[in-house]
Amino acid sequence: MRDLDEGEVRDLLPLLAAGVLPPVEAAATRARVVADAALGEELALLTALRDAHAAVPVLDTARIVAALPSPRVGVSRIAVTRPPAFAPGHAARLHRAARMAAAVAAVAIAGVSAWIGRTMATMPDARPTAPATVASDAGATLRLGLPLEELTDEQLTALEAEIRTLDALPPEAPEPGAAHDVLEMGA
Amino acid sequence: MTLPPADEPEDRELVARWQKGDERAASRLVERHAGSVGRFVASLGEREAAQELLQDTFVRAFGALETWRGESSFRSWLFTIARRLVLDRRRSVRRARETTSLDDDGAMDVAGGDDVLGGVIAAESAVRLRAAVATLTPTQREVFLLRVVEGLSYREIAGVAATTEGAARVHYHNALRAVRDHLDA
Repeated sequence: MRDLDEGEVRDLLPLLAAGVLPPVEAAATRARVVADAALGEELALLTALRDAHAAVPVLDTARIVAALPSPRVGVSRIAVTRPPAFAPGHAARLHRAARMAAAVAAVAIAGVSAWIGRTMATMPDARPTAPATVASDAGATLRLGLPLEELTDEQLTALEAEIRTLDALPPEAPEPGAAHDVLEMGA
Repeated sequence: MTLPPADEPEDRELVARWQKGDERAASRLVERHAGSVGRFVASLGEREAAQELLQDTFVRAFGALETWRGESSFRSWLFTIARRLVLDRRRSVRRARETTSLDDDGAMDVAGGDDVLGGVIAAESAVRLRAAVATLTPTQREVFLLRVVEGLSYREIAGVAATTEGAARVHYHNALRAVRDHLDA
């Protein structure tokens, strides 16, 4: 052990008094104390101070032990448990199967996407449109909103004539559900 | 003496044994450290509640052993927990307006200590020494006793008392000078 300067020795004195210095350091420190009266006086004071405060309050250690939680053995076992051993080639087979599953999933997703795209392209636009207006002979404007059976013959004739002129509608007979459409009489 | 005898298992080994289910390892750890931690708690002015605080300290420590990484010694880790519990207790008592300051606690410790100690320290010189230490500031007293009585390194003291190593060293030397001055006066 190297020679200690006085400051280092003074720093070690309380540890010597407390009895925690390792044997080699304790011997070296004691040797310095023996050779220096001031250090000896300081060690004596620290030892007396230590003794004056060394008393331990009355404690029931059995009660403390009884209150302790049980060791969580399961938790630590999980941390140290090794994974189960597999047969040789198991990892390679697992890897191959995973790649196959990923390829199948990719093809399925592409197929579904294409089908959705085609379906969307052939569907009629479901967005609401402005109500169609039709001028009657009397100058009134018919708007979808009234049942067909409530229209007069003149109104129906005018409506039919107007409908034929609309480009958006097919020239053939209307679809069966069209009979239930509601017409709304406008001003 | 705080170092385990050569044939005794280290704290780290006992902790590992307890974690594997050996409950006797916990008993040995408690028996090894209860005295010094209890003394530390008492030195902070909590002699009356030492048993309760000590029990809470060990229960907390064993409940959180996964968080102890062994960077500090098990003993100084216990000191840290105990100190925190003392401060928590003091805060709650202070909120209830039923306590005094840390300085006053120390004075009470000195004044009423002999009754609790049952005459262990009866010599007049011991009383004078304790009175001298009681004049220190709370931080000085805490650092000084951790150094002189428990033999902690400055690094360990810094961890326990939430300060720096350098500050712990300065507190120790200032405390020693103040004790000398008080005894010489």
